[in-house]
Amino acid sequence: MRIEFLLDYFLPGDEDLKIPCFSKSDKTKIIEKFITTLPNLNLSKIDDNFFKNTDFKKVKKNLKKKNIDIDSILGLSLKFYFSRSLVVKPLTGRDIPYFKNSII
Amino acid sequence: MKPDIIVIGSGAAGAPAAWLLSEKGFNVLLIEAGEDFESSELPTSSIDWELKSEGQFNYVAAERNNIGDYPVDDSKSPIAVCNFNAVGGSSILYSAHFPRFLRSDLEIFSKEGVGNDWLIKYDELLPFYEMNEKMISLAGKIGDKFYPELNKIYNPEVKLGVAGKILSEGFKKMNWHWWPSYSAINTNMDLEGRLKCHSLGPCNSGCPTGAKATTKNTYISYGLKKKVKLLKKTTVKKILLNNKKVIGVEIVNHKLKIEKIFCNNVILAAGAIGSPRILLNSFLDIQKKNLIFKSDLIGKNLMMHPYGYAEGYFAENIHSENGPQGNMLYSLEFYRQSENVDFKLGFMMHAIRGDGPINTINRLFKSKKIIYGKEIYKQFLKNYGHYIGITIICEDLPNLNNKLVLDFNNPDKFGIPGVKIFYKLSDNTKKMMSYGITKAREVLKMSGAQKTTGFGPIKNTGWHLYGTICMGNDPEKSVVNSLGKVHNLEGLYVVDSSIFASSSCVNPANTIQAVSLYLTNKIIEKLK
Repeated sequence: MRIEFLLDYFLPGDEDLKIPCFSKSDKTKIIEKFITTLPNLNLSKIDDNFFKNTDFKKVKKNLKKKNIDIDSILGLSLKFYFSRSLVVKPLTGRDIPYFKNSII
Repeated sequence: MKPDIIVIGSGAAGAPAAWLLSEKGFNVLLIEAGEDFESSELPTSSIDWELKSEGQFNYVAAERNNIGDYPVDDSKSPIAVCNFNAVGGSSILYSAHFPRFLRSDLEIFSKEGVGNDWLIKYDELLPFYEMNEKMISLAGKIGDKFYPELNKIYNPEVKLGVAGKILSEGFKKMNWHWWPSYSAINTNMDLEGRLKCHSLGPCNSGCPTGAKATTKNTYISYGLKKKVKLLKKTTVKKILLNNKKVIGVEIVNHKLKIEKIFCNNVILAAGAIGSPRILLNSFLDIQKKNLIFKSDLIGKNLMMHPYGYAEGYFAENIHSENGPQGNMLYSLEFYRQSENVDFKLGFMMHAIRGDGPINTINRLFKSKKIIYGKEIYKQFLKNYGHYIGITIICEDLPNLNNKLVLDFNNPDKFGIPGVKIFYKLSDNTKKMMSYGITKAREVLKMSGAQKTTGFGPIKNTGWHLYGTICMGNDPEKSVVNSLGKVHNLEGLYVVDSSIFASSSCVNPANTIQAVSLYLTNKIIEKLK
């Protein structure tokens, strides 16, 4: 199991809102910057059927049972994901960084 | 150039001192331990600005290790020391909320029977407030009843925005005092080197456009064109003495080169943590220390502004994230109490704007209420722009047990001891904070907040620091005299918030700068 599936599962994007999931390059950055530094990451233990469950709480619980520190992974990934202009601008209408808009 | 005078620290106190001295023809050597950050290096210039604010630009001193930083152990304090060592000092990361102290802040013993009165009179400070406000192009609105002497403004006030208008209606319904913020922000038109504010939001992560006045883009910028020479990335190890006279400073730069610079006049302006640290490190020899100091007060009476916090959640999007973070409105309704309360003095309510995207999602994550999958975007939108915060800035009182001491087990990269902070909230502060949080929640509810929460003290809020180099006439009960000159020592002056006798309950940057100008003007008269 690759980390990509994990990220796409929790943060899938929304076509209606024109919000993408993690881009490939960002996933690489996540892996390089954050995930490899996390302890207890043993993704090879997860099988594909695992993610067919849409009860996120249950999935998180099961990941934890497999000794995967999913809270740390998500905590860092969320910060990274919500810094991306492609994600933030459709949601907020604001450019990132905040140079050009947002006059009150 | 042999300096006529050395100024240590380029923040709120040191930069105005250096500028004024150079205006009067003195050759000034301005020494700054930190580096000079370009606008492009500030977090707000990057897409991941909220992440960057957690690293090199973290305002919590203990969590950084930049050039110019020194170890600060604040594990014995509920409030972390928050300052910034760089050209421009903490003004690089401050909110630019820029009120004056109030007249009675300087007379709390006479008026309230607690703490100490200042040796400096409010009327003496007024011309220097005016000088400072002109320099930074103060934004605001004339007419607040708490500031009857303030009659010159250089920029219109920062707009309240949707959130500010909603909150101001709440204050009106409560019949409580409120006023739009006084701000060190250029809201009108582009100035020299300072663009008009675009209301980007996160001033506390640095202002990339220069709309926010820092001491770097005002006093230092002008001073460098005159007779100020800036020596950055240079730490002062100690003040050099010959008997009871200052003869210079010993410095070490980031390349570990140690040097002595000789000069008979030195101004300490490294802030209420940095200045006493330099003084204490200069007098490690007890005999030498006892020769000069008749009191044992250096580092003691540390005052901070303990912060309480209340926030309200509004069902509709009130765009609270738009606008300068710490500049919306304030209330001095509870500056002094009109009803029966069990505490002395008072607090300011300071409204602050909502979180950026990362902090919005992080808040949900930490509260364990986050919903993953496609729902996360809807949940984000239900929170982003929906919160207004009110901080309760409590006026503190001097206490000998609240202090900093040298930490010999924790030296900086040059082997100079760091500092250890000992600080406890007083019962007075606890009562004041609890009362303030309750009141803030009331006004948030009155403004239409669907739900409110409150807590305090907030750990990472030790921005406002005072009192650690006591000013007084009696050398046995103080360290410096009314000129800021160290008792019994020729040529050494302190002009920063270390000498403040009280803390007020409002943001201190305007007053630190005005006091520095006032004392420097006195020093100039003496040196002439």
